[in-house]
Amino acid sequence: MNRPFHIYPLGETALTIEVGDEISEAVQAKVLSLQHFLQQLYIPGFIEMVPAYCSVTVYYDLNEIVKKAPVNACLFQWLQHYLEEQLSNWDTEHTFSSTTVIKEIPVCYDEPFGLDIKEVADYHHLPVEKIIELHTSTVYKVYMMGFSPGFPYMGILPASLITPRKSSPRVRVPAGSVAISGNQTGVYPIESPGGWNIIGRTPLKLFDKAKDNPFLLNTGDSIKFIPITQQQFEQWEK
Amino acid sequence: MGKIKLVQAGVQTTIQDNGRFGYQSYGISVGGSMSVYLGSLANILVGNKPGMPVLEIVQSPNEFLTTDNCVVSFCGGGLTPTVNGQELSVFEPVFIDSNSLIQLKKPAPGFRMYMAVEGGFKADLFLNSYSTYLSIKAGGYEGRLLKKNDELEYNEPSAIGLNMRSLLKYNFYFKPAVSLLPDISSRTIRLIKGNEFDLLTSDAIEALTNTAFKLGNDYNRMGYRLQGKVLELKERKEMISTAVCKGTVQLVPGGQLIALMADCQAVGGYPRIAKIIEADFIVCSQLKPGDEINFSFVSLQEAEQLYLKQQQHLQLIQDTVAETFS
Repeated sequence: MNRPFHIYPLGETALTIEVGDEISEAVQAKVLSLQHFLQQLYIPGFIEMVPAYCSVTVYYDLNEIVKKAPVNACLFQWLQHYLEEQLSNWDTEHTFSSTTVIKEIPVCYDEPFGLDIKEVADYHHLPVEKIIELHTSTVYKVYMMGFSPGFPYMGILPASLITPRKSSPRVRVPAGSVAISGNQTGVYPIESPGGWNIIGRTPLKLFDKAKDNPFLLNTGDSIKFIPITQQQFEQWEK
Repeated sequence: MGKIKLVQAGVQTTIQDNGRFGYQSYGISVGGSMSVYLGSLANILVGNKPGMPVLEIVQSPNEFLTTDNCVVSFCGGGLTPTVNGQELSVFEPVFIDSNSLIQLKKPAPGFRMYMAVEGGFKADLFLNSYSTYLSIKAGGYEGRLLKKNDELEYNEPSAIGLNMRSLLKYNFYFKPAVSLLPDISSRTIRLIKGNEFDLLTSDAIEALTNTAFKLGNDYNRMGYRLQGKVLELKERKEMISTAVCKGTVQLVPGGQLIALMADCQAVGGYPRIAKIIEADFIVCSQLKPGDEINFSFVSLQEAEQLYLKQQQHLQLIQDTVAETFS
């Protein structure tokens, strides 16, 4: 049977449902569609779900699965069969258009913040202004979050902005740094090490542990970067 | 209300529980005790629910002063606990008088000790977990490592805990059957195949199972870098970042292994050649730098059964504690 997905064990308490093998809008749409489908499905022992570029991973409690599965069954296989059966009803084309709102992220691309923007411009033989124009001209999607709390992996960069990651990572990337790497763009929500090219900084807090919901963004969100001046940046901070 | 004061804090003494679930999709690590089993057992032995906050104590000198009578338990290794100079048993609840000095100074085999107190330590809750999230300074005790002069409060004991306190005070003792206790001295770690296992050359598979690997100095709660034979892949595969979890063994450029631990991220970009089975996180928690380990493979179903067997042991001990002290 030719299924639009492939299920494999990540461990004894998690399985991964893979729906593609490339970073693309089409695969991202499938991942989101699958995530929504799974959210409405009863999954015994369900703990949580983690989307990535090409897959959704489901974490589960073996103590619950063992109560449902036949004695002496491999619990992964039992859950795999259950999910395969349920997923036969999944319409991979079904998209959930709950994310038509475009969230705007203000970015100051000036020298003190855009630590690598000159280097990026030189790499592409383009003026800095053109880099800013390219970066702000596209609506990006949040493909997944990871690396650090609230860090959004967003794509896809215009082809003329695709840049390899830095040969040696920075030990300290300031919080709010907006960066690019490969065909991806992201924002470092907290100070951390990092190997992406930093082209600007946002005054917004993508992660704020003091808030009830500490995360500004969600996987699947549509994002547009808006250029701001250094003065606007500083006023934002107040 | 009783307190436990830190007279001396070790290099890494933190508050942990059984993990922070539900936020991995936002880049939040699960965290929690390196060995959830040992943390749970320590709790159960003092009449607590398994997931209450405990102390995870990495091998280094620690001293605590009690203000009140209390019941505590120590599960794990690395250190020999004493009270007012007298050695305390591990893997059982012990009664401690008020104004007693609990010391963990003398090294013992192993590396991490879990300490539970009746009622459970009070701690900061962050995203539904009390575990210390060091990189963002949240949860646990102000989100940080414990230090000298910190005062740890704990909750009122359960009914079981209260009975325990009065019985243990008069030389009554409780020790779970040895057959139910984990073997913390094992240095064999069992693996299941990872999704990219088939990328390994036959020489690499041979080396993985027939040669020893050493835990170097590059270890923390996020992961262990292992030293051993360089493992080769049949083909270099450009990986798109995908799911990883605690126990995932990644092959990094250069042919070395990194085993992910409690504070790891939910996505990673290296071939996942294997995963350490849940049942052997006890062993992982007790590895110290310089220790040599051997790997062996088991089937996924065996790994599931081994995990469930451990859970049954925990349940048995919990039931026995309840029967004994109700």
